Amino acid sequence: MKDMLQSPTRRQLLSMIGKTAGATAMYQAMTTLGFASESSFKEQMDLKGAPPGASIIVLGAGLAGLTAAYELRKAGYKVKVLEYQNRGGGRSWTLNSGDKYTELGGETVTCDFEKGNYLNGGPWRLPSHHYAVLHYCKKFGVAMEPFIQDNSRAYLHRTNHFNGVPQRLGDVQADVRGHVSELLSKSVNVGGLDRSVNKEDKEKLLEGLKGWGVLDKDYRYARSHDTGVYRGYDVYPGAGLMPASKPSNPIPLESLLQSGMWADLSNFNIEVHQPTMFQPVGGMGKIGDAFTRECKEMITLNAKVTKIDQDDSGVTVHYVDSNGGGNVAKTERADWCICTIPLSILTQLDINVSKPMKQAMAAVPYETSFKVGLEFKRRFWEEDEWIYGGVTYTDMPITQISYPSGEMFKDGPGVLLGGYGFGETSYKFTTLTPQERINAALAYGKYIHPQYTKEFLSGTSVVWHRIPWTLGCYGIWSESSREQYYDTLCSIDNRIVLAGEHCSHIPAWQEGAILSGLDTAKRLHKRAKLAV
Amino acid sequence: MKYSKYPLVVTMTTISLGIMALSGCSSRSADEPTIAEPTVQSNNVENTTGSNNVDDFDVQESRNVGAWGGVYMSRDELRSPPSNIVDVSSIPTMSEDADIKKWDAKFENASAFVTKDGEKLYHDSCAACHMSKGEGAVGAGYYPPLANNSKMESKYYIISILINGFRGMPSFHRMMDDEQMAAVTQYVRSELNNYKDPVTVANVAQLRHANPPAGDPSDE
Repeated sequence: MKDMLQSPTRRQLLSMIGKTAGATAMYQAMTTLGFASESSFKEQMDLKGAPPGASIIVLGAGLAGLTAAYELRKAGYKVKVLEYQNRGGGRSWTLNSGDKYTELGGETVTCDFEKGNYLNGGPWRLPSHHYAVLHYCKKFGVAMEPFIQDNSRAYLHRTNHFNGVPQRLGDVQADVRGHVSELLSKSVNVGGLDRSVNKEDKEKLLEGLKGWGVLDKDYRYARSHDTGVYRGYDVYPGAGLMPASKPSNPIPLESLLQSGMWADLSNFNIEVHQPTMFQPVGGMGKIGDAFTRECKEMITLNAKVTKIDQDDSGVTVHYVDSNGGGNVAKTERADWCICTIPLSILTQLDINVSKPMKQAMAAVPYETSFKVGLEFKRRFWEEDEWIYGGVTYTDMPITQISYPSGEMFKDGPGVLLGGYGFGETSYKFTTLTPQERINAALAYGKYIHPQYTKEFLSGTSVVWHRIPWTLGCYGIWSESSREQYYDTLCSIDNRIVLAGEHCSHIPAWQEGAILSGLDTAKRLHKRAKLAV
Repeated sequence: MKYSKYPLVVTMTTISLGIMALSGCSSRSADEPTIAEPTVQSNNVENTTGSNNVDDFDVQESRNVGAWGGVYMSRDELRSPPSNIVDVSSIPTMSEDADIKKWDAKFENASAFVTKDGEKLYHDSCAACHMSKGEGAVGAGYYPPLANNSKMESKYYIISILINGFRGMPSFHRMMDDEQMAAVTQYVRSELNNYKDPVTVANVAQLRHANPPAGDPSDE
């Protein structure tokens, strides 16, 4: 895997993003741009030859744990999985119509959407280069459809700019290209780049800028029939005696720069957001469901682990019923243990691992994140605003609005992701009651879509720091903590090895969890064979 | 950050005015103004005229009327288009929206903790996990209570955790300054517990260091 962690360019870039687009954008950039390189998955795993009678206990039935369980059972191990929740799949989770859950603090969150509508509480999009997760989706028959990240008709919105009117993403993209091309051409033409570009390349550059920026013969970016082809029209070309077409008017450079919208374009340029992206038909939880189905015989649900005790010949895991159940302690013993319990929880458990491992476990804090799903009577974003999928970004606390990529043109209720953010804003959202989160998302969202008020039906939310089985969204790494703790965290500690998105270079993404499950399975298998 | 005022009256004529006749793309002279270099420079990007024009740019242009954002079925329709369902004037001005005022007070118009008030800081950050009365919570793991917790006797214990984070809890090194950390520590100690001695900015400054541990994403 290409390691970008040492690159000073990356750090400078993050610093720039932090300054221009605020913390939210930077947090996103950290998780996506910085740490998430292309998946290293190449081909499916085919482990063979488990030592006779060898057993493995897996803690946590999320994608990391179930990947390891699935592959190691195939290799011949006796595998058992303990899961705290009453369901498998972990953060590969969809809130469907009729679902409800109790968050930390005791509030009940309900999902009262019409049948078929849903909110993906955690992961919600799959890059086409996340090969491992797509491999298992194909293998397990999870139906896929395109996920639309980049929709030119979606908006960029700045509260204090353009009178608060959102601007179409495609307009901003075209205008950034146009203005930059004009300015650069100007610089080239007055000899400003003579020391960087030779005469022949200068001509090529000018020619390129003219085409790329849609400049006129004088290298100016100005409304014309040519720009209409790229930027669209105020009056679209019609037929017969319908009015003649009129190209739209570019946003003036100064207004564009002042708005800071340029910074938002990185949300579409980063590799993990590049087309084509996918989503499972019917919600991300279909992946968690498929893994759970494939591993069903191995999983014990409602098992709250209280103690992990290893000795020279194996590991004893103590657990109780998650729902109380008289608190009768049970134990399970195996030769080896793969522990995928989030570090936020694992650091609170009684576990006898080495001191360096304990330090590594304690060095990874957990990120905050919130999501609000809003169901409306009709798909007004499609019907009134011609937005089919994609994401609108705003500087309001809701941070973004995403439009469903599935079931387009359908009559009746549809669901928007009405808010999704990180950082300080997310802490604030987390402190609100489930009803208040919906109210806040509606109060702000109506400034982008005035139809909110009239069309709203119901809402639901997930605030990750209040999810009882994770205590946070995902593990946060920094360059220094990677250097100091990462290898230790991933190492086999006598008979225990950790796995999960927190043991990957792709934190927060399902690909990281699955790759970690595969890597752990492979290394543990090798160790187990040596131990015989 | 303050919100701009929306125009109270927006007529569709602004759109018609915005759509100026075009004379073609290649007949301009070299010194004619362009978008990137207008002849009249304006530093005012806010709307002051009550119209939707900012620097001669109609801000509602891409949400104009007509099917599909600009298909007019007849010339008559273009002359007197129906009102726009997503016209920004259909919603109240932010400064006059009582509902938004309440949320702006909560969110402080910033992706940051702005207030220096300990109680508000507590209810905007700590309460996310440790709950509004400091009672904590228990799931697969737990958030320790901050109320009636004898560990809160040491202000330096609290400040140190705020600066460095603790296990799953992220550092607030970058998110709160010394004054904010002192204020929220004071709230936890004297309101959720009964330790009344003051927590000062100097107490926090004492523990600040240049290299916060993992968990501060701005780590350099």
